[in-house]
Amino acid sequence: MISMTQKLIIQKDIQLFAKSVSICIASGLLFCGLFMLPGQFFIVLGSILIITIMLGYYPYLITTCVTREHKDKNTVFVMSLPITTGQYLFSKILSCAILYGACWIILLSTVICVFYLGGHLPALMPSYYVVMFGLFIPAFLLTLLVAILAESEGWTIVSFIFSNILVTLLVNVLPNLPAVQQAFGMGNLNDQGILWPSIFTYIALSEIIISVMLACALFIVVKTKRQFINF
Amino acid sequence: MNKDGSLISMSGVAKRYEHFTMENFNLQLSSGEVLGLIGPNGAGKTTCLRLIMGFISADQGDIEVLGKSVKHDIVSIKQDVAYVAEDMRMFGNKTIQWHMQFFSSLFVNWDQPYATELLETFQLIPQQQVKTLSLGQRIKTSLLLALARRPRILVLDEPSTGLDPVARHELTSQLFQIMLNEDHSVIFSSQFTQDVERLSDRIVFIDDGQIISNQDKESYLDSWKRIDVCLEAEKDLKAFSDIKEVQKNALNMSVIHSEFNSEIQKRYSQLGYSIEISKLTLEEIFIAQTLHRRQHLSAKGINA
Repeated sequence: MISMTQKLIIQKDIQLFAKSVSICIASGLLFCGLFMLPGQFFIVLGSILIITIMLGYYPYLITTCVTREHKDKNTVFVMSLPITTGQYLFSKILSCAILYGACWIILLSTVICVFYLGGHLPALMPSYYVVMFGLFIPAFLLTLLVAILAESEGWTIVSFIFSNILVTLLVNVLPNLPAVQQAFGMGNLNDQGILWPSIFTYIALSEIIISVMLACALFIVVKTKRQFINF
Repeated sequence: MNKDGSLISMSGVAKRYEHFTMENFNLQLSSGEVLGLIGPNGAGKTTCLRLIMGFISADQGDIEVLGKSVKHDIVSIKQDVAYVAEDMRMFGNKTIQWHMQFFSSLFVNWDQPYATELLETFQLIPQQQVKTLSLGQRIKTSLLLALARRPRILVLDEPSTGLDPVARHELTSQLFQIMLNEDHSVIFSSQFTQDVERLSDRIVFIDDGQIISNQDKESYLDSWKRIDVCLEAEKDLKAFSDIKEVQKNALNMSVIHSEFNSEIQKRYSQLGYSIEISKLTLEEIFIAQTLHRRQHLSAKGINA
């Protein structure tokens, strides 16, 4: 159950970020259109642009929504309201999750719809995108965890750089895996339907396990944190 | 109300930081009382107020507010206790009106007519964004939000710090008027002794995480006196244990007593000295008390 104060804080955050999240989604949707154009170049270009949006938005969201509130001394004001430290942190996690989650779900489902509409694309594309989008979740959770633990913009940026390097590495390694390369050559969606190579199951499971671990760590921090470092 | 009849009760509270320690801190606020906390920078005033608000947790001791434990019931306590601090920031790109609506949905006792009245008193424009407000207007907005909640206790942490003398005078005048008209229980800290002298019923002097004195304003101010006496009296000053400061000039000397009474006055006459007694302002008392304590600690080899 969330309290009235928590609801209002989440509402305020959503109002505050409505514009930026809309811009993100709108540009993502626009870039999805590139997949409809013929040629591999547009698939690569569209993918790079969508990955850039997904990797660029969550650090902005977390630094502005979580760490900047400490820096701007908004937390003293918020903590004077009927709310505990844990409840406040939980509201911040929910706000970030709703905003980034909306971006994640809308863009992923649009990409998949676009792939279906353009049946000429490789049959691996939808599952490939699910696995690739799955990488953004632990990266987002890790940065959020560091932001809440350290309450510092500096450490949040460090964790973003670290998670960004990891995601970029994996995004580059993924299409070069032999099983993935083989699946890419197996034909288009019209002929094959969706392909799900067994390696994706292992990758997806790893993403789920890491995300659950990070979510548990966030839960523990929220439950145990009694006061802010900067107070 | 707490078991001892007070609204706020801190008993045996300790809070330890790397370079600051508050030990065995005991403080009470009675109903309808305006308690002023004074002390030099880093004395522990803000720590004390933040402990009451539950922003930081005590390492030891009990804090009860309105009969509830700060450790366990902070959400319900904050429904009835309003807090305003100079370093507190509202949401910059939201308007005063938005903040008023935000508060009205959070606090059952929100008094809209009173909020409108305060808008006029403080000359605030509800459509103005918080980030465009001056420091004075921002503090007034925080006060408006705090007062219109109709809290049972008002906690103010150096509300007038950073304001120019005119804005500070205006703010304290308005605050004084509000406190006269309404039955408020207030605990506030300030570096401006004139504000404390003007607003409070009781003065608590804090230094280095400890309460040095805790008295009602009248008796506190009354107990401190400056005595002008001839230079020859210096040899007999040992007879008085409450001397906090001695200043010599060419013809005579000024002696500051912290517990001046008729007995001390009689003693001077018995010793054959004629004295001139004058009152001290709270600022003079504050300086004398702080310097005396620092000298006393450095004589003992402790860094103040």
